[in-house]
Amino acid sequence: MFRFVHIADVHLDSPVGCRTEQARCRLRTASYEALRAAVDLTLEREAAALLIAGDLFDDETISFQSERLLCSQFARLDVPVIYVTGNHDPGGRKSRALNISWPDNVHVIADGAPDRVTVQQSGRTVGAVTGIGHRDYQIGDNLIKRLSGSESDVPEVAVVHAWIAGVRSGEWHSKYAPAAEEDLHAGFDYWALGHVHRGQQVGSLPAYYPGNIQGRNSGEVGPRGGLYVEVDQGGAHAEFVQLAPVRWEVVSLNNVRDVVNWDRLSAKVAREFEQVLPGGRGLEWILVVELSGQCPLYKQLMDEDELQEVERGLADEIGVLEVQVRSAVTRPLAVDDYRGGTHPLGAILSVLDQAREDHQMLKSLLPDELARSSVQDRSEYGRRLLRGLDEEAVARMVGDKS
Amino acid sequence: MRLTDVQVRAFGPLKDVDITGISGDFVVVYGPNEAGKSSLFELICALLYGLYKDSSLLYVPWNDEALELSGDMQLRSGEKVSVYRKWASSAQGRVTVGGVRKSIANKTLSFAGHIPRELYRELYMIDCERLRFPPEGWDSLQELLMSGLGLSFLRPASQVASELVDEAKKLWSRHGNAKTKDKAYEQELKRLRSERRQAKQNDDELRQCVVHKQQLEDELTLVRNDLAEVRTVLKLIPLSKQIKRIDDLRARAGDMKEIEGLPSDPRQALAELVNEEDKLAERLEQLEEDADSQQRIISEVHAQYQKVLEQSSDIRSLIADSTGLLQAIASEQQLLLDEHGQQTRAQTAVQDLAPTAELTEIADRVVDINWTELKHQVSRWREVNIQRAGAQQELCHHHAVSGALLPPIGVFIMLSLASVAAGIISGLLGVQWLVAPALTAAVLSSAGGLFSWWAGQRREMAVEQRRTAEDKYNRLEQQWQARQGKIRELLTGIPVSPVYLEGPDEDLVIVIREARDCIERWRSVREQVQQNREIVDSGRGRIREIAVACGLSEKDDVAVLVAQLSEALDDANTAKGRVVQVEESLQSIYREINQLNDGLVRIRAERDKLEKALSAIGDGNLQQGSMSVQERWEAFVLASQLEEELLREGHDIDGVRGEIERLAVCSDMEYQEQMEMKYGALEGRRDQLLAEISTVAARIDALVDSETVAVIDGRINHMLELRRDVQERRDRLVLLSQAVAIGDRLFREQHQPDVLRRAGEYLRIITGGRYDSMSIEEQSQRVVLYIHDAGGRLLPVDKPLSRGTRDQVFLALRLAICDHLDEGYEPLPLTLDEVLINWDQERRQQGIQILKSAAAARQVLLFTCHRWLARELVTAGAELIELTS
Repeated sequence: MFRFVHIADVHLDSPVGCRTEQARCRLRTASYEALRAAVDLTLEREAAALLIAGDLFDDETISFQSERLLCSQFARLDVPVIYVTGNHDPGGRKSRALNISWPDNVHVIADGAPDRVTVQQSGRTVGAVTGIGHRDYQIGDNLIKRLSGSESDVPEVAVVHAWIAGVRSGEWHSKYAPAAEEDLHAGFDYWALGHVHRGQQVGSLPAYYPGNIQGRNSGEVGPRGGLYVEVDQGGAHAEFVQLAPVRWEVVSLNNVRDVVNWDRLSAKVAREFEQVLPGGRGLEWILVVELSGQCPLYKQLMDEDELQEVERGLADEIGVLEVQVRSAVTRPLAVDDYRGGTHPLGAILSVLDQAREDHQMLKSLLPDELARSSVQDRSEYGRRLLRGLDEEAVARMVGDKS
Repeated sequence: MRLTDVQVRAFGPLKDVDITGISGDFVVVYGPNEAGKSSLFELICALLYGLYKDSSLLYVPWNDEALELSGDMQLRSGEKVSVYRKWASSAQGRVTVGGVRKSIANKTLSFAGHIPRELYRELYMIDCERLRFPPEGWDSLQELLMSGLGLSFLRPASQVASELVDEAKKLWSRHGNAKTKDKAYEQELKRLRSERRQAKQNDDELRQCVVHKQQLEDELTLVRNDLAEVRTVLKLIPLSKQIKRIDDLRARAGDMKEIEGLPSDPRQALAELVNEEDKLAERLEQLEEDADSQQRIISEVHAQYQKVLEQSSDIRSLIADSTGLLQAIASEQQLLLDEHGQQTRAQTAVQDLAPTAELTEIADRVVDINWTELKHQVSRWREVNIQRAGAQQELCHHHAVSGALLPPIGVFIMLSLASVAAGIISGLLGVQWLVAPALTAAVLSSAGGLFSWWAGQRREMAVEQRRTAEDKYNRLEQQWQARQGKIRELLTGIPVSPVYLEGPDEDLVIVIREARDCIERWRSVREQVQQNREIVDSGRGRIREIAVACGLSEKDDVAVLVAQLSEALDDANTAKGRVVQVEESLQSIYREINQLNDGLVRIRAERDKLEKALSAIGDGNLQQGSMSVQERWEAFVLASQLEEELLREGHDIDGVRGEIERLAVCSDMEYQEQMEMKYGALEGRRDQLLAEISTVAARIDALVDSETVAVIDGRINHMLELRRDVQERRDRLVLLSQAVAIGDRLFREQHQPDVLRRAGEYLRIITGGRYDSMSIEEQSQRVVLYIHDAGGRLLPVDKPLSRGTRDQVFLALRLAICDHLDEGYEPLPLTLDEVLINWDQERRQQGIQILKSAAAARQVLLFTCHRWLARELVTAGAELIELTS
């Protein structure tokens, strides 16, 4: 039996989506801890190898300290560490991947040519790993097609950083080294994949994305970690092991009409948090609270400074590392009461409604010079800006007189 | 729509009030204060739009009674509508149209739907305040009227748009010098990017420092190795010199096996040997003289005490035994006296036992008696004798008992027989008085018979017992005689007195024991006398024999002789002791003489050997050989001392030699100076390297602690996010401001012309044709309202236009807006509460006229507490409804 640990997308030193300095620092150390945990897992399970399917770090930003951590952690293992490069850490000339003084047990596969490593345990060959790495930042070729399995008596494992069409959350990732599910041929007993940060099995194939090892922003919610894999004649069995010490989670509150004070808001968020908490007891949390709808506390929840206070208060109250409140609450006004009315507000709401439907109207509303000059699609951007604008229009027009 | 009837069950102060039969469209509702005019004013809105917290529900009765009202209305089409509304914890409502009733809960009546409740309250419910020219000026009012159709619940759109633009400008501006939030973030981003560059440089520098430090440490290792080598060389230079000297000395000493065993100072050694030989010879001579002298002393002593010494053991034995001898001689007479006394006592004791016997005849027989057997037999005899006496007494007793029982038996037999006979006789004879005694006698006789029978039995037993006693006695008698015979047998040969033999009891034993004891004592004393005599005779002969042997007179007394012998022996022993000492001294002298002789031989041989060896080394010259040996020894010793010194200092000489050879260490001064200079240079370089490493390490520590690119990237990302939010917010605000402006413009374009036309009509009526129309002009930031006089002049509705005129314009605009809004819809009633009261007579009349003309299009209800105003209105054609207090 070939036993190994499969991780990917560690993204050491990549920027994180935290609002506080404290949380940013914690996430940085959390990535370190997650990597240590992966090494610990390899040791505890007496795995024969540690496979890293790309994006071990963000090439540009990796610090000397992180390099030192990588070397010291991998040196703890007396089994091979097989690391293929990804789009973030390609093995080109200026890349750090090939310039780090790796310990002897680390096999870096940084080229676009397949490389096969036989893995031994207790003096006998237990498996073979064939990997292919990214040489450049943006690989458009199908790397998987270049891999071919070998006829051998031991399990054959492929490790590659690639985008597979049709996988969940695949749309959030660049289509580097694109491949189709059909390309994952039967020449290998297990496909150790990387790139897509959401952990999943590809169809019903023995092909797995472990997901990234530590969530870095609100798009990477839920448990994060690696896979402990056992491959033998009977097939592959992959067990997800949570390695991330900090977990992101999103709580959406759409009905906040009754949130008339801080205690109500805190209790409501805490209640929602309790729903997700059992899946990750003992972890630290970064909680994204999405608030929408009409709320009596709209003023506080729309004010930037007050919002920061609310976030700090919620974090303390719930006992999490950070709370990010995404507030889209509005004043408790019945917008529809004004819609169609014979007054300017009715006309304004009508204009906004028309802008949603009429490209010309939207175009006329958008400023010629957008503050967000980088916007490619003005119409889409405009439609995004229109979200919730009716409520704001009513609030502003009615003012405090209502 | 015309309100025709109102029924109030409870609404504020109004309770069970019915107002019916309102038929006109121009109505004045008069009532004193507290009559419920304001409640009725609010009630009309409640009938149309329902019950709300901010208005009609303020009129819920305080006694918790349900708010309840209803009203009948007639639409322009003639259709009648009845409305019922109630509030009891929740709103209830129903409407009846054409006989069909349906629930409307709290909804607005359908024909009033074109005017929102807020708008109705704002435009159609005019109180004194709302008709008063606003104190803040015309700008806000004309904005309100022209843009918002007088809706005070809405903020002026242009103001909102302006605020949005201002707010947006605070967030972002295209102008580089604007102090916007976006600029602040941009500055912060610039600063962060600068920090990022610095962090990147720090990271590069950190990596370079680490490499540099490694290089420095590698060089330091090399320098330290060189330093260690040079330090070793410097240590080896003096050692090298010393080892060279040792080697020279070893060469001078040559092969030490050649002079092995030879002294390091041969001449001194030879002189010492000669000196020692002389001393030994002189000592030998002296000892030989001493030995002769001692020998002579021994001979003299031997000659004088030879005989005594030869007998010395006998003399000592004699002296030791002489005390007993002298005592034996002294006790000889006394022992003889004792023997005689004991003999006499033994004779007396023997005669007591056997008066006819002589002591000497039976002494042995008495002593030889088997004493134990005798005592046993005497004891047994005495026991048997006692038993025999007892048996004899028992026999006598049995004889007596058997004889005594015979007479009573006979008497009782006789008496029994006599009594029986007497009884029989008395019976036969019939003698009554004899019967009783006879019977008594018979009874007694019977008892006697029984007793006689018992006594007979006892006698037979006594006879039997006597016979047994007799047997026992006879048996003991035989034993008694047998014991007596045994005792006689034991005393056979001794003519014992018959008295003792008849009754051989304890007395016999005592007598015999006394005799035996006396005989034994006599014999003992006799043996002592015999032994004493033998001792005296033997001792005396032996003394005399020794005395003769020692040359003394044998005739002297034994005691004198013993004293003389003792004295002679002491003298001889004293002399003998002296001779022993002399002999020991002599032995010592002889041993020393032997040793001296041996020493002389050895020394002479040694000297010869040394001289030969030295001569051989000196090629036949003893002197030269001695000098050569001495020099070689000196070189050898010095070399050894130097080596020992090195060893004491802990040097492994072979190792040192190896190191010197390996490092090619020279011992010359120039080489040493070169090495010292090199050492100094290396030390300098080492210190320099250590300082550099320390500096680099400190720099590394500082750099390691500095923020990384990733950390700053996190902040940049956060800042970018904030900036993006700000930019989006700005774009959103601008978009909204545009929407507000466009919406406002469209609204005005849709409504303002008709409103102005209608307002112009009202104004013409109010002013009696002085002003006949209105127009507006949108200037940069405001809308300006103009009125047109009959001459076609345009006058802005602002100062210096009189307040009265402005109030009239205000009223005309309000009425025009209402007409405009109701155009095409059911016209809603206009309610006015205490208006016109502050107007002067002329203006009031004009105002009444305009309201009357307005009533042509809709029902107009004026509420007042002033009777004079009510009269004026009635005079002008208004229908009066009077409320009582």
